Amino acid sequence: MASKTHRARAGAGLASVAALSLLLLSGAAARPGPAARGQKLFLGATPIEAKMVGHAQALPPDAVRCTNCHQREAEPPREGIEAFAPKLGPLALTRPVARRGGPPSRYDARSFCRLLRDGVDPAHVMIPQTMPRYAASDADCEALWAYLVTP
Amino acid sequence: MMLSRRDALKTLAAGACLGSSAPARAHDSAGVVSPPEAPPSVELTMHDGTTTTLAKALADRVTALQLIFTSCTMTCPIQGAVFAAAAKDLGDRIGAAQWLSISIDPARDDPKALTAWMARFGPRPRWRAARPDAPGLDRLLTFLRSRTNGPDRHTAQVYFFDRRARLTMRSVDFPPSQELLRVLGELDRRG
Repeated sequence: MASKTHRARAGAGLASVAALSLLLLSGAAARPGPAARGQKLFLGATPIEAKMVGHAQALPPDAVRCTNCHQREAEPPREGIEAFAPKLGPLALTRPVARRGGPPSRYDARSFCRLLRDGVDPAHVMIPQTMPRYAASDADCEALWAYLVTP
Repeated sequence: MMLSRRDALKTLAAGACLGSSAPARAHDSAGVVSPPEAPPSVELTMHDGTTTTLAKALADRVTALQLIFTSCTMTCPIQGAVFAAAAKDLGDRIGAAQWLSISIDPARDDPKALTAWMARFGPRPRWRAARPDAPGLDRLLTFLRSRTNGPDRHTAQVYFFDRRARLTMRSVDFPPSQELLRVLGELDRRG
């Protein structure tokens, strides 16, 4: 049992180290206020509780990091990511865009938070169940929004 | 040995009634397999380094099987976490139950990589991982109907096998752990 516990902790530790490395490489320290916190949330250095739709149990933090599936618009493409989930940034979020067959819509801080928590986009269309639903606080939403819409 | 249509609909409803307007990728293939189907010939190297065949690995157990690869950052961490949590919840309540994660990247996912991947989520006694031989993987993907064009290259379904190593059901993507336990329990009761 001790060995298993040790291995599990070692895995969690490696995930934390990876998140911190991403953070350092992307220059988190240079970002002010909420955007800096948003970057930590995006990269998983600061965890947010999340569940899949219909699931009772929360998932481990490293399984639900935003960066597992998304990247910011300003970043160079990562293999596979772009085809799986949209890049996020001012262009994708704040311009009117027709999403998932709905009418053109744009996010604001409030609708972005609704998407994180409930999976409903600004045109009131449900996003795929592939994305976890996050128990994001108002401060978490504000921080992530600030990070993502800051060019 | 088959699950009833009502059982299948309950499982499907767990994923489908919750409001996604975007069709899940697995919807075309999810449901009861009737009659149950024997698996194709697939050679497996288990995470502990032993070798066997898929049919032997499935025999005399009720099995929840998923497809993963260890370098996948998108769906696979969630799949692994769900299997680990479900296996923990199940414990020893169904003596013949097992959880089997099969890699779709056999060139990279050797036993060491598979063991490390499971360790991320907390290894469970009834949870095993394996890599198939390349020709066997091709046959397995066809048999399970799990090919996708996306970058993760597989669905997030769970495939249920009875004690006779026959495929009896394909779930929707990301079935909740309570549904995994319910279906395994049903398969176990049917012998």
